[in-house]
Amino acid sequence: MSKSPNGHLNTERLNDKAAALLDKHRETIREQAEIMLQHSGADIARMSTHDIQKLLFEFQVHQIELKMQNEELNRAHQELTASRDTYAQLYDSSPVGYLTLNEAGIIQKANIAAAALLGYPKEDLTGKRLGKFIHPSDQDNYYLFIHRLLAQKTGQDLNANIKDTGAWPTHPECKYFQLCTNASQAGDKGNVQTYIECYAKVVYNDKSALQICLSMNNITERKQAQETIAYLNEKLEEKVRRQTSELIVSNLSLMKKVEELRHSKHQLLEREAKLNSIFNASVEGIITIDMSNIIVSANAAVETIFGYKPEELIDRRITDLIPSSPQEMDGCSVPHAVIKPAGQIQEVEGIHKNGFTVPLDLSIAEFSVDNVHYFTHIVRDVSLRKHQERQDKEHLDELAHVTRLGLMGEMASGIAHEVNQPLSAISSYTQVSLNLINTETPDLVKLTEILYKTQQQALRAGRIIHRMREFLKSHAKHRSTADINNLIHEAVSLCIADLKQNGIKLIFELESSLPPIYVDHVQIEQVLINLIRNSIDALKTLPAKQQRHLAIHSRLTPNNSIQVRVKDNGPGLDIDQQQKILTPFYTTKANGMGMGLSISRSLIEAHDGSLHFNSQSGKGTTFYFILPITEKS
Amino acid sequence: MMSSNNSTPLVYLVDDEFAIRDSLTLLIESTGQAVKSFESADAFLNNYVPDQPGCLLLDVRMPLMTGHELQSELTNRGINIPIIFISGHADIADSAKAFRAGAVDFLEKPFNNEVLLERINEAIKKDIAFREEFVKKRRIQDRIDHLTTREKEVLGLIVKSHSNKESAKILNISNRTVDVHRASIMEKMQAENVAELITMVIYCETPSSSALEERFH
Repeated sequence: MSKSPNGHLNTERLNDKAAALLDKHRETIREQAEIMLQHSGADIARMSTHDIQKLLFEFQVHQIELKMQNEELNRAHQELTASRDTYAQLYDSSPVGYLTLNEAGIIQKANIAAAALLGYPKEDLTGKRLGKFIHPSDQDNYYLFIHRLLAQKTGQDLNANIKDTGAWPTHPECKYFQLCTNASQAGDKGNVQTYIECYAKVVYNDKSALQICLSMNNITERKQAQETIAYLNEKLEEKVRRQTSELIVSNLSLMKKVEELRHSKHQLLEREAKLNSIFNASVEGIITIDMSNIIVSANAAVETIFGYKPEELIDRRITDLIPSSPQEMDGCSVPHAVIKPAGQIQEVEGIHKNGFTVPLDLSIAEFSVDNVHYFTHIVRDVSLRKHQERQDKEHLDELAHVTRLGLMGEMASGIAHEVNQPLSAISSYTQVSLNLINTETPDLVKLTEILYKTQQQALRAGRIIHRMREFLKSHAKHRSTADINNLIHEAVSLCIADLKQNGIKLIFELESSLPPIYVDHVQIEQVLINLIRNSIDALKTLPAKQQRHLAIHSRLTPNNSIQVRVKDNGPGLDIDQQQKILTPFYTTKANGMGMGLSISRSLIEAHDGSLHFNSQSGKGTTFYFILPITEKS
Repeated sequence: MMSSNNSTPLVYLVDDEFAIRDSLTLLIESTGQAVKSFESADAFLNNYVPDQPGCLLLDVRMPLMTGHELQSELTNRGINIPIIFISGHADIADSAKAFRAGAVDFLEKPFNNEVLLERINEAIKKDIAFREEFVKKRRIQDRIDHLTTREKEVLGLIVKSHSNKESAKILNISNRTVDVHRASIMEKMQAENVAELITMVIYCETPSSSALEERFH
């Protein structure tokens, strides 16, 4: 029942053809039946009635069967017609293009989709070579495709063939052809090229002629999508490559950084080890406290300083060790407000475990971790230094005392003269008093007056002796506040005789209401006397006719210190003398020790002051010292 | 006879120390002696009255002009007032210097008041005596000044104990002329005899102070 479908679109024609075919079929069947009857060899003439009847019966049966078959055929024919119509409709309206080619590749039949793809009316396609529509670049592929298709037709299962062609990677290029589009027909498609995908199989039609059934799918979009995807892929690959190279670079730098980090970690560890060793080996106590004055760490040195083991100190208050710790002094919760900048050392007193006080140098540094502030106290036991300082001071005091004795020896005659003045006056006054008493009517008013004067002179003599004794005291008095101008007057009072004897005019230029200074009176007087006597000695060498002036100035300097100047118009010092004048044992005097100025300088420096001079040969010399105004500590 | 005899002696006191001036003034005045005190050498020099006899109590150590300087200044000015130095302390060099320059005394403070007053009296007496002597010598000198040159030559020879004859021979003049000169000299010098004449001349030539010596030579 093989029936090849007719490719006619017109159903009317199809129907006529179908009717004609049916008639023809009936005739054919009749002929075939007659032939068959003849061939069966049955001869009705020689047959018995029974046989004829039997045969007739058979014929009748056959007839009925045939009728039934005919009906069936008619029904099948109708079904076929319906199915053919459906098929024709499907064929033409299929989105897939179908072409039927003959062996030479010439189009025999095409559906609408194929015509649309190839850009020609369906009717015009018949008789044309399909190869003509293939893009020149794909011509070779196309002919190879057709050739293989034809070559494989024998002994090849069509299905396998389909499978084979369907197997993607076998000849992928064969399946795609770029169509050579007709520019005029393509119209609005412009230069857009059309790609098709072809599946083909070889079939033989009812005339046993070889036909190639070829289905075409428009894959332009897919192709374009693929191209886009390929382009995007390329881009992506490019990007990936680039990023990869970037990653390599950054990886390298990361590795480098890791190396650096490893190195700095090593350094950190090394530093930490160093710091630890410093922390533990330091002779200075290192105590860290938190914001509430609680000790969080202490090094081994604290034990020698405070007597506590480091672990004993943890969680104790810093003020147990250093009562005057700035935090406590301020008493506020923000200690760093009162902390001096790191490196600034303050002298404080610490308390040893045994209860004794320890003089300390303290410096505080602040650091913070996660916004929590800590304060590192570095403390140094300065007992030895203090002791040394005390000893130095004692030595200086002793030396000063010894030189004061010497000075007093030099001044003895002058002072004796000063004492003799009031004594002499007393002697005379008392004689006069005696004379008055011896008269008959003593003038008591006058006597009272004279006795008062006598008393004053006695007191005056006493004062001079007292001053002298004060000056010679070996034990340095504790420092106390003093008015520098008073000290100047006291010092001058012990030199007054020498000044007079040498005809020296004394000029005071003392600034009044100077702030008090906190000093050892005797030592400052000693310095003043030393300077005054040096000036006297210098002025002595002037010719008798020349006026001799000694001026003593006192003033407040702009930076709040007291300056005292002792100025003479003596011969002055030459350059050589100026260089040596302050060095010990250098003297310009025949009987001098050369200690006066060097001790004076030491004494002034012991008072945190400084001693200077300027001198001009032939004009005079000025010695001056500066003392800070310090409050009683 | 003496020009300044009428004036009462005056004690000058120079000391820069008020207490000394005050006490000594009271002391000296209590003996009835007049005192004038000065606080400086300059003040003294400006107020010194030469006509009046007296003495000077002078402090050694004083500002500006010292006692020694005042002493030499007085000498320079020909003022021959007896000086008693009063010093705060006994300095040998000071006292030697003072004595060399003609000081009559050098007392150390505090001094024995009686000794001081005694010395003041002595010094005043000395000054009075000196002033009298000075006047006497001055009178003789005046007479000598009135002699002629030849008479002065003859007087010189008489003083040297030459006889008239020897003198005439030396001067290469006649004996008679020498006699005339001698008579004239005796008259002008108001001498009673040669012995008195010689005494007068020698007295006049005896130096009593450096200042006067200068005048005579």
